[in-house]
Amino acid sequence: METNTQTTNTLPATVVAAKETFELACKEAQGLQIVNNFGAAFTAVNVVSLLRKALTQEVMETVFMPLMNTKIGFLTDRNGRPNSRGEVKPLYSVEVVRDAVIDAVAIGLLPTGNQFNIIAERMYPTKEGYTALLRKLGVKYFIDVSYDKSQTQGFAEIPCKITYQYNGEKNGFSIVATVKKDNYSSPDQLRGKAERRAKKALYEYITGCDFGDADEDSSRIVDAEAEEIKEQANTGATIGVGAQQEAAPQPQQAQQPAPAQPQPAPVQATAGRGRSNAKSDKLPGF
Amino acid sequence: MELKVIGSSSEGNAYVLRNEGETLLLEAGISFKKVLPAFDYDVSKVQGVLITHEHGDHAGHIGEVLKYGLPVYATAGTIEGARRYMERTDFEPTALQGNREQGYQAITLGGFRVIPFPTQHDANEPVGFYVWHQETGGILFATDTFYVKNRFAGLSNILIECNYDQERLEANLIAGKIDAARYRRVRHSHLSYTTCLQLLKANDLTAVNNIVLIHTSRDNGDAKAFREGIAKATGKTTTVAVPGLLLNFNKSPF
Repeated sequence: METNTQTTNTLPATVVAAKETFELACKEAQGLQIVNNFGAAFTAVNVVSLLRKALTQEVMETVFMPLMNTKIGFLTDRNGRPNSRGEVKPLYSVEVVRDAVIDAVAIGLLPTGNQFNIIAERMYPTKEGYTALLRKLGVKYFIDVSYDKSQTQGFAEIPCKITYQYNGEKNGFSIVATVKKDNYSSPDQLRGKAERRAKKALYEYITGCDFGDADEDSSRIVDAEAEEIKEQANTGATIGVGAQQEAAPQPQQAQQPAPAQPQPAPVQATAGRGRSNAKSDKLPGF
Repeated sequence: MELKVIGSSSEGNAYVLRNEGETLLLEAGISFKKVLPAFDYDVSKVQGVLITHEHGDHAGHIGEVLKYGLPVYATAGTIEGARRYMERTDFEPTALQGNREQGYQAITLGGFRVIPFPTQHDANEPVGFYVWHQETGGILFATDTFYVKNRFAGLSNILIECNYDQERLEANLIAGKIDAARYRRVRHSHLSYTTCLQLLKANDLTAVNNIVLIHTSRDNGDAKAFREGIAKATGKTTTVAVPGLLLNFNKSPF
């Protein structure tokens, strides 16, 4: 407490005042239940207003910008080092960091403890961030992270089994976390990324809130089969032989699945039998 | 009309529809020597042989069937894909007319009327068949597909794949019994219990006498649970296809 006071005392009075406003915003945000709360929008607006008031240029430059690209603060994809193409991009501006901090705090994350990253100018919760969010919800969980089952070079596919207890409900489900890998990716790194995916999936499952992924293409769970089944299955034309046709079935009357063009004459059974079944360009009915 | 199951698994598939005068063989994935007894060794009554796709467990013995001079029907893509099984025969299957986008032409094989429809499998040009006969009414034959786009009218009997249970498949993946590639392949080519049930519910089952669950995976499925679940959900007589199974497949259950 004493240390805290001493530290605070070294800050300008305007920053100290902002700290109180910021703490108030954080407190409001912690109590903000996004799900099942019709008044959430009003609280959220209040949180964002308080944060915008607190995060002045001076506060940003004095308090938050120094936290950027540090392990006790938050990491970004612009850290002054060259990227894979050898380009060095400038550090993020105060405006970008301010927006990211507001986004993070509004959902209940702290700007310390590596709870979020800024990637491509957007805020994304980290594994630690999702841990904090799940703790905030009061979810008890166990995640069994398996090993990379993929046989491809660019991606790891890591099955994760999640069991949890929330509001007295015990449940569980599995995901296959797909994460990018390269020659330098260690198994622990990949499993760490998979664990983040599992926590993200659990948070989404419980709250319905998806805060996205920095690398949507590689790490978003896309259940392509489920999507295709949902969109396509049992939606096509009806095939069948009508009751009036049962009495005297005529091949020409068979209902076709959405014939868009004239169809050739029906093939008769004799077309395929014995000598007629031999290789020929002159099969009957063609 | 009777249905006789000769084989119904990834080891080989063949189903025979037969009355006193006519026979229809569905699939050629079993040695024809094992199929012949189901015809009483009389191939003259075989009106046709329908092949859904070129994989060995469905078309692996197509050459043997052709050697007997039986009329075999498959899509052009399936015929192309099954060439390796037809090397020792001068006979050729008959290509079904049409395509996946615009639909296929119905064919008449004796008293059987057959309407092919596209299925979703990792094969060249896979199809299922709606088979109609005056004795059986409409029969849906759908296998090796992860969903079916069409719906079906006038159904009296159903032969439908019920391959795997999603939870069991995931458990097998996590336990390392199957790898990710296999997991993906199963999901992208076979009908799950859930999708099978959705398909059944999407169709009018009022006049259905039999639902026969085919091509159930031993490792990723649970035949007993599938049968109980489908029977309970549909209220219809449900049977799991096993070699030697013989069922009355008439449109009247009596």
